[in-house]
Amino acid sequence: MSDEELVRLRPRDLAAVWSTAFGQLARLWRSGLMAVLEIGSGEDRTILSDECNRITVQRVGGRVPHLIARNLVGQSFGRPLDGGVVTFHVAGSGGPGAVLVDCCVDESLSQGIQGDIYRGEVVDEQGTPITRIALDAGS
Amino acid sequence: MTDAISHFEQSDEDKERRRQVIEDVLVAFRPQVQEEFRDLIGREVPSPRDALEQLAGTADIDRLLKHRLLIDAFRRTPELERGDLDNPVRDVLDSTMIGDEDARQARVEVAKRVLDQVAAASGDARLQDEHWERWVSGTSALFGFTTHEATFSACDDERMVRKRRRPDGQIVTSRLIVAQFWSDRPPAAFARYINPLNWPACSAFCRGMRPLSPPIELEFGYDCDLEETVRILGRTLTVPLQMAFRNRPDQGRVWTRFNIAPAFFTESVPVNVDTGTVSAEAMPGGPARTLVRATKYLHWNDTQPDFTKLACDFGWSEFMVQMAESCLEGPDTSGTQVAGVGTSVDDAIKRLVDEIATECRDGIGASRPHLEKLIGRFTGPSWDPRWINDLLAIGLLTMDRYGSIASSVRRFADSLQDADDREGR
Repeated sequence: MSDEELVRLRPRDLAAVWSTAFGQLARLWRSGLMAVLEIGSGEDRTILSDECNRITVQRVGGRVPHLIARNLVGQSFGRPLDGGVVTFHVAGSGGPGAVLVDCCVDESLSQGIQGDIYRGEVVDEQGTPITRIALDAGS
Repeated sequence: MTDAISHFEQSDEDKERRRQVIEDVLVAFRPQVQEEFRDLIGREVPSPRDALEQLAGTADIDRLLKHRLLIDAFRRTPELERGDLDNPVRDVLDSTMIGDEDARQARVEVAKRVLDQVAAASGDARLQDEHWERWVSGTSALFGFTTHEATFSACDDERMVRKRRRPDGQIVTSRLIVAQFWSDRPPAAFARYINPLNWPACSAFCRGMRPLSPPIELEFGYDCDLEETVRILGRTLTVPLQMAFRNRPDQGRVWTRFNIAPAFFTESVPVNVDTGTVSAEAMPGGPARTLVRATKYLHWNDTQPDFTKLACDFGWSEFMVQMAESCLEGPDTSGTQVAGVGTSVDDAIKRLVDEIATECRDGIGASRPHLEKLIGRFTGPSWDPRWINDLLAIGLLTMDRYGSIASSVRRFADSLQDADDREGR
């Protein structure tokens, strides 16, 4: 391509190149985020969806903090689930200063939960997040 | 017989034959099931010896399933009667090996000795996870088990969970059955099998999946009411199910949620609780990158006999075996060692190096066409601005590889942590 031809090039002549490039940049950005998530997901460790999740809770002042489940949303149908149906039972010692707690959905506390895996979090009475949970509930 | 067996192309007759061979082994070694389901079996139950001979002679049953059926059968056989089954047991083991006859015979004898030990191990008569782990550790040198074989776990059907039944919403105690395995394949590799429309092609027990309503296409999956038809023993069971198939855009999880479809539920439906999830999910910290898991809560509608107690052995477990085996298309990177928890440091280092080398090699290979184009555009007779696109394409491939390498490094870190914990103990 001569200099004369280059000068005659208008943006629209390169539209195919730039529009492809914008798509590629978006994918590049997404892949970059996924790569970071791959590393970051290690902090989340394993959240195995089950009818109960066993979590480790640090004692505060020698006692187990009052636990609350919140922001539970079904991963398939997107319906919210009232955290009040989640029950907590101390299952044993979780090491120095900690206890193991089973959190489960008591289906008798709610009418007609749609069958799904509900993902949300457990917080203490101050609202401090303790861990994330994934509970299989409903039918 | 070590190659993956594709069941997608099998005829109904072949699937029915396969199902009957599996069922015969299950029933022949369970007198209680024979007694309770006598009227429904509808055919003569073969002797334990004949059932094992049939199993040995059936080439389209995967090694994983054959071994699990064999261990379960042998454990259920009274100790004094096990000697009568030595030959058919050897035949089943032989049918899962490759190589010339002399070499196979020697290996069969070694495997048989391990099987004798596993059969004599303590615990319930039925096959449990600890028995399978013992079998894998004792025979991995003979069989070179893949990750999904070594980590396969099924038929924990002793757990009972309270669920609301259809249609009156009363709480009933439902049986929870769980089958799972780990895989080095990404979750997306299992999408075909997690899609419920493909279950009949995948499983010998699932006979049909008929749409009851038009599917609602969503951005990352679909919703649809489907009538599932399952054949167990001599009975055909149909259940209307509300299905939600999802494939997350980040490829991190593929799953199907199923519940009884309320709009199509009638009193003739044999179950009043049938809910669960079949999923493949990237899960850091495990023995491999992906956990494939199927859970199902079942409650029979109070008529006798109760089929839910058969659901795991007769279908659910086989379905998962097919899912594991059929997904082994293309180059198998699963290897024979399970990385992560329980792996030695040397194995973990070797695995990390292998994985990174593979990623780099594949990455360079995949970049080659873009690189050729890129250079071609600079050295061609005229200026071509599309070199920008080539450069970005190479960047994208590189970024994708970084994600995979990050996963490998994480697994390596978990292995070191685990080894440290074990030394500490």
